[in-house]
Amino acid sequence: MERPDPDAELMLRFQQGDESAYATLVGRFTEPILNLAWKFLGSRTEAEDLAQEVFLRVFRARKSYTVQAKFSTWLYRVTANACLNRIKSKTNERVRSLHSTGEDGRELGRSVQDPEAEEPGLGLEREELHREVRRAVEELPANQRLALIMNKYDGLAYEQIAESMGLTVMAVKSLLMRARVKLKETLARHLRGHVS
Amino acid sequence: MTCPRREEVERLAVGDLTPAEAAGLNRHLEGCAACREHKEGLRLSWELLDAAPRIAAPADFTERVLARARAEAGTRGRIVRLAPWLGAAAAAALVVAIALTRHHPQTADPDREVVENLGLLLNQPALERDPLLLVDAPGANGSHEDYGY
Repeated sequence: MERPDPDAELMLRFQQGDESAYATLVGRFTEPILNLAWKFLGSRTEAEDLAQEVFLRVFRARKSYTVQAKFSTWLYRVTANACLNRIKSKTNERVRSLHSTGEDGRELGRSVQDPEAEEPGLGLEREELHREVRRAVEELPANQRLALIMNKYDGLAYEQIAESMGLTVMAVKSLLMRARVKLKETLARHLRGHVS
Repeated sequence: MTCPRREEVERLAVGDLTPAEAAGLNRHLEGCAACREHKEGLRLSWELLDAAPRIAAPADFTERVLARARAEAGTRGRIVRLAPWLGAAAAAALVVAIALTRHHPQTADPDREVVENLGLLLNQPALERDPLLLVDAPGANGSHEDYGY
């Protein structure tokens, strides 16, 4: 029988009570999950909170965990659910807020710029480009944004994204296609001189 | 004017064309400036995404996650482990209460006395004053292997 991937083996060790295996998994996946959450939510504080939530879900699921796919695919599925649930609850919150205050709403699910995320010492032009790119990603609808981040920044194949998001590969391609068209429009200012 | 084959360019960008379809579109691109520009725009905007910075995790992130997980597991473990203790205590209290009732036949309301004795035996105020009475010590190796769920 084919042996599970090393991360799945760590999870199985954790299932047997080896807490250090869990710590290794957390250490190994913190950066990708944290960065995915940050790009998705746009706030470092929220991203850290979400990443913690993801790893706590892994902790809670240890008894029921079975090796069915790559551990990372399973972890991304947990993360995708957490991200989309977070956006859903933020949307509900905003709807409740609109009902109570009657104020005009910004785009649902879009978060406030995170001042901690700005990098000191960058040239103005580069800093502005960073901001614009982040804004362009944040403005995408949640499903497109998640698929794009997983593909572009985490290097996940379409099949893995499909499994993580509970979609077909065709649906993932469609999400990515629309995301790319929208990005091209949003970043048009930075493309001048290259394309008309 | 927008070329009717624009969407094919977008499908090409995500690898959604068969090799034959891609070859056909590439021939079209040689003669269609609008589609060429669209293709280039999609490519460049995708490359621009590389400009997005990454953030580093706080140095104590793993420790914080472990602390939360242990705290959560500890809470659940206490609840689950308390249950058998409570069951045994309640059973013992019931036996004692019945015995007391038999030795005091003058009691007007035996049911009420059973309830009062249960309260005394369970010593609820003491538990409230000292919740450590309910805390399980971790295993000998310091691990929390049995979280009770």
